Amino acid sequence: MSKVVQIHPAKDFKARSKAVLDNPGQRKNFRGAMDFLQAKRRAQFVDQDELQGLRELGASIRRYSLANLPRLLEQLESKLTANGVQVHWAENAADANAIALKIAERVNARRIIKGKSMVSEEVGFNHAMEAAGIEAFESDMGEYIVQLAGEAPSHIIMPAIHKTKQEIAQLFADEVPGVTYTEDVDALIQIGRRVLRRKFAEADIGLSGVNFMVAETGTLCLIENEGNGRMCTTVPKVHIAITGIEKVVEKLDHVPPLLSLLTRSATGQPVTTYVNMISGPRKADEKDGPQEVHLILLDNGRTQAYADDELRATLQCIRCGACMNHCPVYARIGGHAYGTTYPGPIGAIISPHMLGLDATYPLAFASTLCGACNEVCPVKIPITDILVRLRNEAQAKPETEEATLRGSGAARTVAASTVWSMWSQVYSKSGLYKLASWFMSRGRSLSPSEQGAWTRSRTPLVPAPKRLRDLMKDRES
Amino acid sequence: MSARDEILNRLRKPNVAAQPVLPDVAGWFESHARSEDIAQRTARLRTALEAVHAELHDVTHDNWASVLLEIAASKGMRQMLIGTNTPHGAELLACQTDGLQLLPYDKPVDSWQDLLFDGVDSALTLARGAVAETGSLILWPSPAEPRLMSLVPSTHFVLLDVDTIHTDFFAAMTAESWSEGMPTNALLICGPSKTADIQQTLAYGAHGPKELVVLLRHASGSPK
Repeated sequence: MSKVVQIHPAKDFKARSKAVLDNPGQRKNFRGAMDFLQAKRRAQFVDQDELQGLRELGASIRRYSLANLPRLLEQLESKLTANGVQVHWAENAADANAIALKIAERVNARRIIKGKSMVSEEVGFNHAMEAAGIEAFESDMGEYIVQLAGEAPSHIIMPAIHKTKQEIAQLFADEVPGVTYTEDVDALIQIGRRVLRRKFAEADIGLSGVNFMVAETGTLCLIENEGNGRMCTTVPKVHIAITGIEKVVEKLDHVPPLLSLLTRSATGQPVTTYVNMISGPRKADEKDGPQEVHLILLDNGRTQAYADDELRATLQCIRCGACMNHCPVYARIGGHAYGTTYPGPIGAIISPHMLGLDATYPLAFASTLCGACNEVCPVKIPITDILVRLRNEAQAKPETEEATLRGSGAARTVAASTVWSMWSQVYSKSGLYKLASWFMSRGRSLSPSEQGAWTRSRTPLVPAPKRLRDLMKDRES
Repeated sequence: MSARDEILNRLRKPNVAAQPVLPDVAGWFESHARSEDIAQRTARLRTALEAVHAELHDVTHDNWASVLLEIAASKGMRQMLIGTNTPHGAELLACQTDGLQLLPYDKPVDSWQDLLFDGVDSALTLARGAVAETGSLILWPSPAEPRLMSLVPSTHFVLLDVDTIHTDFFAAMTAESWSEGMPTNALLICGPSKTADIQQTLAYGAHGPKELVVLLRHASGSPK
């Protein structure tokens, strides 16, 4: 059984955020990248009516798919199986890696070439393979760069968004044999192309993610610009696709609207260079393509979100990254500060189901609730409502009805819950309110000058010298 | 119980009360799709493809092969991978191709993969159709024209008959009843491979072709 690296962002989220805020160079990278991506998206949606109509359609497709999820997964499985694709189900990260390892062992694989897959990051795939002595090599240029640097992606669509070309030039000069320092982006890409071409040709297994799965035809849809995804799913003898159980739609014609929303929201492209639709392994008369295709369907906490009427909407996500591109918090602290595979607003609402709320609740508080994410979400996930819900869950009393998630109540402290229960008493009983406000206004000089986070950049709060009811009395007399 | 059954049981538990109705995708496209003739669709496809650095040439049924060979010669191409038993492949094979070696993709890739990766600089495939809206070429790789032809060689030539250009992706898949049977692999291709992974700077020729050359084939005698 493979070992999965456990992340606990709760522990040092603030420290990591502060480190980025103190780094002007990195802040400039993120600001520039976010401005770029926002402008690209804006240029794609000039017609507001079309955008809103398409979002409504996209949201209805995703809601419909989730409402019928168990049926669609069974239909998908039977269609894929009939097409010759082997379907596997994984409860968690360890299961998913174990399934992949079993396949790798059976085909005697030493090298795995990877297309971009956030789910493979989620399960710690590369570590698990390396621990078993199998090389897992990233082939998406951005992923290749972060792997070369020994880092993790800082954005779900643009993994190396935190790096400047100077940093990448230095990295290539240091790490790729025979390469001299160059800042020419075309030259850098050609270096990557040259290295990775050999890797595609030599790999025993190609691993990929999936963007959409179509139940009625048993089809896996993958989108990309570089061609590495097509290489990974076509050249090696075995193709393993790994994805979350929520990515299924029923009809093939559900794909065009979602595809349009995805590429335009993500990178501001009308479409990606490649839309790759795979419905089976190589047939007897075909001359290329993998001889085996496997699909690993991963739960890893998704059924917890599914069980709740409000949190189920989290699974509508099509992973475009627009919420992070428009988030004032993400733009300032970047992806690594979150400490989770999925950063930004979507990371804050999906990660608690994967890692537990105890490990992730600070992310739900790292939001101004400005609602920019709700506005740009192509499938209309009410992200801020879910953030507020998670904040409440974090303060919930464990083992009561209000605590419904793994790790609920983790942020609860005796002091805070006592204050809130007093507050609730005072505000629901008029006699008590009268008495309390009398004491507050008379005792205002006793207000503490240190009021936690509030007074770090603001003057202390002091109750008014006269209550509203006193002011009204003065006016009447 | 297996992971499969455990997961499905958990998904069946919540009472997802209001079952939403099947989304009306066709209705959306009916009210939003453009109504255009072939010339307008061709023009939109051209604009979209040129925006992503594809090269387009207008040809006819009579001259496409000679135009292709001229372009290949001007680019200094030495080998061109072609399909097996295709009408366009046969037409090309019948031409004088000085200096250009035509290689039919006539056996499984496993026995000659190294040559494909290192010793073939171009390939010609026929597009099944195209999508004007996004500038995407539709390819259904087949035993005659396998998948890697449009991926591995540095220059990809595509022959596209303009009367197969659809308004949008939805129109293409419904007109051709894709949902009744998908091939092993279906592709939309829009331009040569590219990446913007280094500081959002666009660079062409990432892992797939560095050049995409589209021959827009019009009915004979009516180029454009």
